[in-house]
Parts: sequence; structure tokens; C-alpha cells
Amino acid sequence: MRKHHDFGGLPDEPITFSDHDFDPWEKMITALWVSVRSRGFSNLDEMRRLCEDLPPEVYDRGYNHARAEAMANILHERGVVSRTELAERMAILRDRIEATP
Amino acid sequence: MSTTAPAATGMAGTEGMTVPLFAVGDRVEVARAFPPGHRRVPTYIRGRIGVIAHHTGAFPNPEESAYGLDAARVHFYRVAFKQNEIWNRYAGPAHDELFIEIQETWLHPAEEAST
Repeated sequence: MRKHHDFGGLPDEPITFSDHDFDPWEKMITALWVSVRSRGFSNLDEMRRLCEDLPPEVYDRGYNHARAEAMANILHERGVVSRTELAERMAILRDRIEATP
Repeated sequence: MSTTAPAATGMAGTEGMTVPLFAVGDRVEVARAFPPGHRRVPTYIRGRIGVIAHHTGAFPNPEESAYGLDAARVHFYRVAFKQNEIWNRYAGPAHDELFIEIQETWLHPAEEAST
């Protein structure tokens, strides 16, 4: 069966070409990925597989959203970061952002 | 990958590897198969016939390394397909080609074109 990411050749709208303008968090995702890969926790092929295995609604949010979700799965699976630790850390960051005037 | 990428990069550590099955100019058919797992061959090109344009090298099999396995190296080729054979009502010039890098495990020799 054709998977969601395998959309080559399907009808679609014309492509809008524009320069990439990455948010700071997206650059951090790239930095984090380089660190995860260079420490041997994963490889490019595994990253691609985990992105392509995400639900379509997550995959369609964009490359860096997908990579963030994939890395959360990788680090959990390798025992580096637990889901609880990740949730706690995200709550701290959320509080900090909301407290910023 | 750029067309000038040196094959030597991918050929490092090829001791015991088989020689490439295909040579530049060979007609090949992409397997019309739909196995589960991590597969990098797009659905639209499966079952299509193309011509070997370049042997790009031998690299760890992504279908295996995608699961964290110690992957054996496989040969990869840049394969040329006629655009007007791939897409219905293709409006571009007849000589337009589509190039895709495909691993050897997905290719087999194609019958000569019957005219």
C-alpha cells in the first residue's frame, strides 16, 4: 500500500517556491539531530523511517515537527530521555514562555 | 546527490562485495512489489523500465539500517526514465528524462523494447 509520504505523481496544487526561513527552534532541532546522530543513537535511515511512520496529520505539519517527534521516539526507545522527563521539561519551558511579558 | 559525487566515497570497505550486476546503458525494470517496511523506491516508479545512467557506489542497505541493523552494502545506480513513459499526457519534450537512484535489490534486467 502506498504510504502517506509517498505522494510522488499524485495530483496537487502548483508548488510555491520561496526561501526557507527557519525559526530558532527549527535550527535547534537540526543541532539536536546532529548530536543524536554523532553520539550513535540513530542514523539517517532510521530518522527517515520514523518520520514516514508518523501519522499523516503530524507528518504534514512539516519537516522539523516530524523530526522533533521522531527524535522523541528515538531517545525514548534508546533509554536516553523518558517520556515523563520530556513532558516535565516541556512544562517548565511552557511556564517560562507564558511568564515572559 | 550531485552528478559529480565521487563513487569512491561509497565504495570504501567493499571487501567481499559482489561486482555490480548492471553496467551503464543496461535496460532495467524496477520490481513491481509492495513489501512492508522502510522502502525508498517511490510507488510511481515500481514496475517501470529505465536505463542505467551511472553506478553511484555501494552503501549500507537503508532498508536494513533504518531499523538500526548492521546493514550490508548494496550497489546503487542512477536510473534514467523517459518522462513521457512515466506520466500520462506528459506535455514536455520527448527527450525529457527522470533520474532516480535505486538500489540493486529492486532492479532486474528488462526485456528489449519491442517496437
